[in-house]
Amino acid sequence: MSAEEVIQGLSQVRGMLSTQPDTFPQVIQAVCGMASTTPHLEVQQWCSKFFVDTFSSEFTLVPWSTKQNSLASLLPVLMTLSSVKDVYVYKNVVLTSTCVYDMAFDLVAKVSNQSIWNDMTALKTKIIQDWDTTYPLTPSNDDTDKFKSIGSRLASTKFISKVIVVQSAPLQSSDPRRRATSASNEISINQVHPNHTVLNKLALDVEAQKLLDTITSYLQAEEYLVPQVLIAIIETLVCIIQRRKQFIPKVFQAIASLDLDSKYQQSKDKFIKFKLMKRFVERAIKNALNYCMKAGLITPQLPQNGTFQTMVSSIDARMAEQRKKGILTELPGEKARRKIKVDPKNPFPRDATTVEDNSYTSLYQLIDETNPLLDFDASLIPQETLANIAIATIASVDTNKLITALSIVSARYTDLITKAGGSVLKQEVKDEDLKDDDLDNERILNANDDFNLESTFVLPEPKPFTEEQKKRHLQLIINNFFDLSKLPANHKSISSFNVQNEQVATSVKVADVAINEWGKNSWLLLLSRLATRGIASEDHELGDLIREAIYQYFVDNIHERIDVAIEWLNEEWFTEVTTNSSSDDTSRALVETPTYLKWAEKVLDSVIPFLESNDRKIFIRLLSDLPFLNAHLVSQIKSLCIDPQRSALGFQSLQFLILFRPPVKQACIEILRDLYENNEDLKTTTASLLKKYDTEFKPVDEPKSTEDSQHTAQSKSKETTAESEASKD
Amino acid sequence: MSDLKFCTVCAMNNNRSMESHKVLMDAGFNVSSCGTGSMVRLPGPSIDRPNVYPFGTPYEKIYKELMSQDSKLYRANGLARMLERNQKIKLAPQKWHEGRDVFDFVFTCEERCFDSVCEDLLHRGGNLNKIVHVINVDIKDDDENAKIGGQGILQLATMLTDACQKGKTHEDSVPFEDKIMDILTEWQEKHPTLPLLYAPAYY
Repeated sequence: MSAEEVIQGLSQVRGMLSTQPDTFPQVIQAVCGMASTTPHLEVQQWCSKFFVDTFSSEFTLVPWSTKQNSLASLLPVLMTLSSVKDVYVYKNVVLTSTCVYDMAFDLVAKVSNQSIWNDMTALKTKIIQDWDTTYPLTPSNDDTDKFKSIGSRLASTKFISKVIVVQSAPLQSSDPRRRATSASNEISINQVHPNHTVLNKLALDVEAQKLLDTITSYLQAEEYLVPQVLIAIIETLVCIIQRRKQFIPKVFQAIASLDLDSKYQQSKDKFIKFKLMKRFVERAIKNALNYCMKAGLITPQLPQNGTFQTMVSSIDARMAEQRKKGILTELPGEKARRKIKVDPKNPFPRDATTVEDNSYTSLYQLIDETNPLLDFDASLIPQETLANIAIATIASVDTNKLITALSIVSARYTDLITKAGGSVLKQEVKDEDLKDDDLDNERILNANDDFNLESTFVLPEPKPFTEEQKKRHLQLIINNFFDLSKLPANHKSISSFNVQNEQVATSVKVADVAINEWGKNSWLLLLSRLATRGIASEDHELGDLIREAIYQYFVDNIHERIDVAIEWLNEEWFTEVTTNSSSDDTSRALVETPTYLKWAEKVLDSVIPFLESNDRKIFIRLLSDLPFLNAHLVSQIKSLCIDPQRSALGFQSLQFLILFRPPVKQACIEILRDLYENNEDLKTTTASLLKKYDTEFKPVDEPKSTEDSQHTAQSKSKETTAESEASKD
Repeated sequence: MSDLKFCTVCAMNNNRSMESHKVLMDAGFNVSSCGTGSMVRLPGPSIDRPNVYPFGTPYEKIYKELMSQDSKLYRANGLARMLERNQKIKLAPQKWHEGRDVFDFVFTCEERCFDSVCEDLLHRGGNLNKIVHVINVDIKDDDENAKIGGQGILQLATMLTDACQKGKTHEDSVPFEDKIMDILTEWQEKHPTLPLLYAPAYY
């Protein structure tokens, strides 16, 4: 009969169940008979599905006790089917076993049926043994194994949780509503008499504890992130503690110490897949915890309560961010975690215990075929050095690793000998050979009399950094500084550095340092000192890297970081003045400060276009606090005066400089003159200022239009405010 | 078609789950649908006056009531068309928590619904010993997105069914559960605006 015909027949038999449920025992007999004899996989699949459907408590047409009475025929068939190498069949076998485990337990507890218990135990042992394996699929002995037969793993996890519940005792104070549920839920080890002839109560209890340990420890011990198994375990654990409250501490402790970040992805997987896996597990954790909180399993008194609250809120935050940025966007801190495959028991990539030929490579090679070391000709190294390397290596190598390596090599020797027909074994060892060996050893030992590890091994001096490397590292340092600047002022990495708290604070010397209390902007002082005094003296280009970084930081928020620019430019100027003037030079001759001027110009260049008419305070602050100004720097203010929107600001600044910075007074007057001569619109304003400050000023004929007089009146009132404000500043 | 059972879930069992229900049904899937909300809330004459019905109220009854209330408004906002469609699919909106059917795949249309389904399965205690795969496809609750989401769910359902079939017949040596992550990843890359969630769970 073909598979289709068999299935058709079976389906008809199954159909009978819905109209004549009392035929259940006969139907089961028929299906069991077919399942254990059929050669067709399709039929086995059909039968396995039939079993799981009919023995599940979802199938209520047949009373529980009737199902229980069919166990004697069912269990041997489940055992037969469990050896079918098909995940679909195996999964259904395990799920059916889960459905019937309590039935069998109950039956055996009542009637002490040894044979049923033997069958059930055999099934249980098999399922538990194969729980964390690829069964029924064949393992490929690499990291893909952990991700194989997921369906079987899901079913086996469920089975184990059922065994744990049945083989442990419910606490007395269970919810009365739960007590009212069907009798099958109440089956537990409590039913077993301590002297039961078939069931060993103590052993069953211990087994339940051990199984709980097995699945809880998977959460931490499994180094790969296998989402389905992790989620399944978390879900079954929640179901276990609903029934068996005594396990709450162990279960929550395991969930609290689950660290997804430490888990690896399958090496061939794309990052997006790993990311989704993590997302799914996180969501499952969140849902499980939320459920436990609602169900009163997590109480405020629980030691892990705080941890769980934090877990849930951080998962929520991450999900919200992911949702905002899009699922494919990489969030900061997210990265792939591929494991470089090293088996702790056997850390060697080439660990075959057989030889391909009788070459030394075949005997001794433990490294990978792709390892570039294979191309290295060790015979190029002088023998003495080689011996020293070998001795040093043996002295420092991990003993277990060495033993593993030696046992692999020795197994290969054995293999070689067997392949050579065992002739080597029979060869007698002659005394002379031994003597020769001894001589050899002596020679080697003598040759190494002057052996001295320190003198023979000299590590070459590291190469000095290239310019490019230096720049890269400096950039790292700069970035660290800027990261530091973003920390809140009371962050521990900042507040822990505080000289005043140290004992040395009493020393006068230390009190004189630039930073004796680490504050919000101390990093800036360090950076500018680094640029001006630290690196700059050696390498101008590197200093410029820092300058550029500070400059960019300033430009990012001109309005709030004017202090930054002022402090830094003062450092620049001071350094240049001190280094460029000769020590005995007491004259007031102008010292060249080209670097300062260059960056001051850049700063003004970037500030002026963005100033608005109400930025008077910060701009005048900048002009007054810059350590040095010259005609060129001042000339940039001209563009402000010309801009009708901001001309008041320009003139106020010039007036301020004329009043308070005498060295550039002349330069400012020059600007006013230039504007007076070349800019008709500003004639009135400039004329009034020139009259006031320029003793040599002789006005050309003044225009007398009404509009102009208004302008003059306006600018006069502004002038007065500028003067008073300027003196305030 | 395979014997796999699907269920689509949204909040009210009116728009998103019903659109996906229709799409899957038309494609020949064995599909049901339900909602996780406490009541069926539909837009009313103003935002603070929604039309509220208990789950189980026939779509036809809701339709008639709304049409007598203001047929022009409900024609204009698409509610009438939605209810006409729903009547052709099944009798009334169903509540997830009251359903006792067992499905192989549950597609939720909103993260809130996904969480609700997962928590409810935990609450049921897993006594039936059956595995279900719960997948969330996040769909905005409007006409156009319900259509886009429905197509997305159809694609997923097709890919999953195909993998189940091939795994079962050994046409493909990889069993379906071992492929589900790859299927979800592939689908997610094609639909980056519909972020997925997934959890295997037990009935």
